[in-house]
Amino acid sequence: MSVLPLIIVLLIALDKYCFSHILQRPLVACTLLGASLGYLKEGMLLGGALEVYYIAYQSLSEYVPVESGFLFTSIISSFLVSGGVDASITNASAFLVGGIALEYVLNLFNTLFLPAVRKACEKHDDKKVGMMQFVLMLINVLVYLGVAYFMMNNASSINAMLSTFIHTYPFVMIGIMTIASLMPCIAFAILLRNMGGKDLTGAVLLGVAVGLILVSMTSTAVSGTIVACIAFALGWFNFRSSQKETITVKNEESKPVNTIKGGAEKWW
Amino acid sequence: MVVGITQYTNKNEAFPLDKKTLNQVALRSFMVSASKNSETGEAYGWCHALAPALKKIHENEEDLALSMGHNLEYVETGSFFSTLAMGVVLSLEAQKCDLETIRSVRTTMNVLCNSLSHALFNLMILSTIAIACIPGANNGNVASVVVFALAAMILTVVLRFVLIKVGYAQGTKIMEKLMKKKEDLAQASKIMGGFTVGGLIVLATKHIGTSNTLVSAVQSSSLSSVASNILNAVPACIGLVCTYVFYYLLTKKNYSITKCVGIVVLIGCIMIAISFVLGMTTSL
Repeated sequence: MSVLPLIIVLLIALDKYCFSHILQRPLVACTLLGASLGYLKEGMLLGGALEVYYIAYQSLSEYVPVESGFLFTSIISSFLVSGGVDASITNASAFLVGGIALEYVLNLFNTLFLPAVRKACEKHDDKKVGMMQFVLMLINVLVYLGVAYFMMNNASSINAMLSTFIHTYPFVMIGIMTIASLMPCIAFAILLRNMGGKDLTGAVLLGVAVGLILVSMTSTAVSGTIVACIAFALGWFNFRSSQKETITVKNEESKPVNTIKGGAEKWW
Repeated sequence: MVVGITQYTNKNEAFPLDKKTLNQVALRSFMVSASKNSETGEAYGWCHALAPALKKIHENEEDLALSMGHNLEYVETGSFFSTLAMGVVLSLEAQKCDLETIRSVRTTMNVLCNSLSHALFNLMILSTIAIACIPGANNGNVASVVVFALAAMILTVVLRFVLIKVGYAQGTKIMEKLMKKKEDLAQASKIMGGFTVGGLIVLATKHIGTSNTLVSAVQSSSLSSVASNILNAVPACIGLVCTYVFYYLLTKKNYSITKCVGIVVLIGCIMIAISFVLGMTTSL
């Protein structure tokens, strides 16, 4: 059994977690894995096909971890490429869902370390924070390596098992997605609490309304950019108007008091 | 961690950060998404990346702990523009701004950088390069794949080191002027932060719609376009209600964060049960 494909998966996973996020693109990942497995041309064909899917799915990437889903898909499909490119692409959507579920599970697992990281921050121990980050990265990389290892040994049986699981038990995926999507709400609540959320209800509701309008009109990425720009504009407008108010109040204070002809101040 | 509304003890402006420190931050920024978690996004990596600069800015140990603590709140910057947000936040930290101001600007910069990263890079530049390279790959030309990978990698590395300097320099330039009007700035940034959190709720919870069985069930039924448009708002409403419920539990009922996480997991289990009973599938 060759170790080269595992080394390639290790490199791709390391690039995903601590470098450029480029090797995980299907075009590159499938080419590298295909070459390591001895199917360079098939790997490139598979990579090209999955890359098109990847670009099409990019609009979802703001709210579903599509990148991780496609990395998982690229790894599994590359190991199946010996059976033909078409056969590998056929089950890509099932692998994609599997990859997204895996990323959610890893993210939920990483959340378990949050109290420990908070404590390390309290002691301003950035080495400990870095160490925990490194350990988590290592675990995540090992998971991908594990997937690759199992695929090397039992490619076809894992393929069948994964497809069956996702089609037979979709409600497990629904539960995982619900948990992962509601988790940021806790972080938003903490943010609001620390910003002094009592007076901010109006601004939050306005943000939700604008966000809803934008999301229904454009892609999530464009909506996010516009929301951030409006937020800056809103902040600037508020800042400028409060500045103007201060200047007006100052001018009114410095205005000469209304006097009568003789120069004496009005007594009333 | 008690971060809350506590302010920095030492309010004196810090010495400007040197290039070496900024480069160190940029180097660490490569690992920002290494330990992404469901609750605070890329906060571990963000906090770890900023740590060397924060250590130079805050000589007081309590201030440093406070600073590291609040930088562990929700952060999600994407992979290409993260250092721009870092530069701006560091400039605010160096000016010793109010924590509300830093939080608000950080949150808004995060949304901006994440969205720009997706819109400009993933959707436009990288996709264009990829589309140009795919025909070559289909013809068995390895060079096209190498060109794609190298171009994207060089762009990522250069951007990270350039943007942190741009963010820090511009942020400092703007903040030096604005710091004279501190109170107005704090109020304005609070409103900005609140608005951004509202927008984030919509963006982050949009995919509840793909998983929420009840919403999917109603959406798939034959409804008028107006009714279906209104129903599109349901995921955001769920997110908004959840955020305020957690806000209430955290502030009024003194719930710990772990308890809140437990509640979310419970909701997930209930969703599994409902989906199982109704026999729903994901729309992915």
